Amino acid sequence: MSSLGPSLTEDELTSLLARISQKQSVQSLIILDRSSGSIIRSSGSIAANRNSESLIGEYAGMVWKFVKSAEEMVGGMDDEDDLKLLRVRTKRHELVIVPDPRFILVVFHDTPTA
Amino acid sequence: MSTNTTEQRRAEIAAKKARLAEIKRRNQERQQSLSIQRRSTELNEVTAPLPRSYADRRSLEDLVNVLIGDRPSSTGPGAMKSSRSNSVMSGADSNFSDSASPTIMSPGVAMTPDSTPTPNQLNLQHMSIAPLTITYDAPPSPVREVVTYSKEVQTSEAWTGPDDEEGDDGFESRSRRTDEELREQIRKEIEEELRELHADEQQQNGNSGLDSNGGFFARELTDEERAAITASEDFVDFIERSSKVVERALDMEYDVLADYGLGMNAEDEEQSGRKIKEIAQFYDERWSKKRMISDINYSPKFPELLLASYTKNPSAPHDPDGLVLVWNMHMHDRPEYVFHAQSDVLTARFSPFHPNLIVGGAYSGQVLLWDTRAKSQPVLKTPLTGSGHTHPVYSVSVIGTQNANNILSCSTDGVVCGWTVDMLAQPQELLELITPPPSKTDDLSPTCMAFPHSDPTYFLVGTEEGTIYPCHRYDRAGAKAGVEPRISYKGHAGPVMSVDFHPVRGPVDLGDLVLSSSVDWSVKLWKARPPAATTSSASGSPQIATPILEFSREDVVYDAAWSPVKPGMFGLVDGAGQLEIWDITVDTEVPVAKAQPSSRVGATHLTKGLNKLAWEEHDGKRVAVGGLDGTVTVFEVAIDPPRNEEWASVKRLVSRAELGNNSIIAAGK
Repeated sequence: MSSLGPSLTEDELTSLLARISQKQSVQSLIILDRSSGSIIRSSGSIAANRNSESLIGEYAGMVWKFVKSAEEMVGGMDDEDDLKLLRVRTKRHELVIVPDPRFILVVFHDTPTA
Repeated sequence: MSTNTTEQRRAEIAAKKARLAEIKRRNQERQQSLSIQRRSTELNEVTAPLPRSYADRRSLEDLVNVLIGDRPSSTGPGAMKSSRSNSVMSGADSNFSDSASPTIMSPGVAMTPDSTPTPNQLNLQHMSIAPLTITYDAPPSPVREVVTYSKEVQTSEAWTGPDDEEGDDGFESRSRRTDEELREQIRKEIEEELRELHADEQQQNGNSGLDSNGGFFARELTDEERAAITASEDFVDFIERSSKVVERALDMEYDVLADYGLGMNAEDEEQSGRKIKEIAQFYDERWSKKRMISDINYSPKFPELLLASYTKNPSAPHDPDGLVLVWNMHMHDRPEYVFHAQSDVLTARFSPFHPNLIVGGAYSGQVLLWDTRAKSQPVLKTPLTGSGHTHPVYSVSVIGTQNANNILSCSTDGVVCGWTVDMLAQPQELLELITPPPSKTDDLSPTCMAFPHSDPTYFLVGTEEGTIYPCHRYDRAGAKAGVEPRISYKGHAGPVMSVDFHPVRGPVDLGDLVLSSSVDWSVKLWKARPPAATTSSASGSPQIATPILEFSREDVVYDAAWSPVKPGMFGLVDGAGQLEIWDITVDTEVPVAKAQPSSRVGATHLTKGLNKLAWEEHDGKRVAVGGLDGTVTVFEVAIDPPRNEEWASVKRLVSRAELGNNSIIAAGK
């Protein structure tokens, strides 16, 4: 019988994230802290670039601000409401953003060529 | 009455003022310099305790002087005057806080020489007497009287002198009127105040935005911090949830931005001619590896969810032996849920009455219940004692209605148990099936079980010897609980692998049609006699029913199931790894479509065999198959919407076949 408490070990957590980042279309994955905006984890091709540190920080900042304003918009329409998912399509990629009260998960991935 | 209302108003006004003061204080704390045009009394009250620029104060004091100068000229005798002038100030103050600070007065005194107009100066000399009388410092005793009076004074604009000497009536009407003005004024002030506050905040935000990038700072976390966050339950929980969401999002194949005007994909056209199209395969390296699929079932509530049960992985002794994975059509390479069991799971299905519950049967003889809201361990399971099953459970059903349903399970030693969904410690009913005479042994080993849709008290079991027996759950008139001895369905020469009643969903009741598959390389179609009919025709010698149609195949048939929408259609899977779709209204000799799951790399022909097949029940367009290689494959079956004639046509076909069979039997005799 495995424990019924915290259900995932560190390894399983890592492998969960690895699953996503190893998907073919996925370029990179960032996890941010909601309150401070600091980067908890990041991986993927953006991170592997030479200027990765600053670039990731920049991206994180932009995403963070975007989430914040989206949240304001949702809150402004109905304060009972909550932001659950953001998908941002651009010509080049798509960002899938999962906001949470404490964290933000961001995945950059290529869109199927349309 | 009127004093009551004025009291009320006074309280309201006091509350408003207090709020206003609070707002102002906050403002002050931010050290934003506010240039507010306000009335002197207000300013005095609020700003006196706080430091202000001298210029402000000066203009203020001028205003105070003007006001105070006005007052005594309109009031009566000097003694009264002085006490009143005090009370004006202290009253105003006491609206706020009981501690009236003398500093309010002292600047007034100090300013006296500064004030220019002569009459004011004169009056101010009256004023200056007031602090000397010290009533100012006197504790609250005069306050009560004073407070009512302060209203009069505060409404200085309306205070036009001669009115003062009027009687009580005049006073009241005036106080009411001035009250309203006062409220109006305070409201205005509060509004103004709030507006400025907002402006301030915005300005501040703007400033800080310039400073700190909108509050965002990409601080490098230390390793310890990162570890702490990563280990927190919140984080784990978040990753668990969000990764599912992302994977679903990424696996969603439909491109919402697709522009159909921009040219077509040639591949699609080529595929559209085919009857069956493979649309998804589910396999998880971690969980599906080296396991065989023992059962598949679609969720009755969510058409995109299906479960597959698995046998053990012999090369992973530390993993749970039995497994049930719930797969989502929108998430291809990872199960939505993983459920464990200590023994190989041989059968599993969603409860049709509760979308969260999954019932399973295990090799150990246990019946297990999982809940999608709980973790992977079963929420309930039967004990490993003699009270329930002691042999493998190959078949479970959930039978009944929304409010009263039972789990029925059947093990290979012929024991059928009924359980309540809430309590699996002990079976509610227990039935031991015995092969009716004339047979050499009593033993009956059921491999599968099926309930008709119309009657929850009677069911069919397929056995290892090849005969299908009807059974009663309860004693009833003329028949005891257990195997019905007067009729049996003989035709299969090998173990029966599946029994399936026709789903009743059309204009013609075909609910008595039963499809069975067997390792004797055939699928047979039967017409089940209702239990009532068999009792009436009980003449002593047991009847033997024969199949009305036979479909011979080229390999062992492991499963066969009716389509949930097309009356004449069924699907079958065989040991060669073929999925075949038949439609008896079209042809009873050859299948209308055939397909084989695309094999993964490294699969040999030994692992091609398919064990199970399940139709999606809502529109009957998808069929899932799975077998020895542990992969669930979902096919889309191109079907025309069922026509009403089809039902009649199946009915005709059945009665013709019955006649034919009877004539053959007659000829044989």
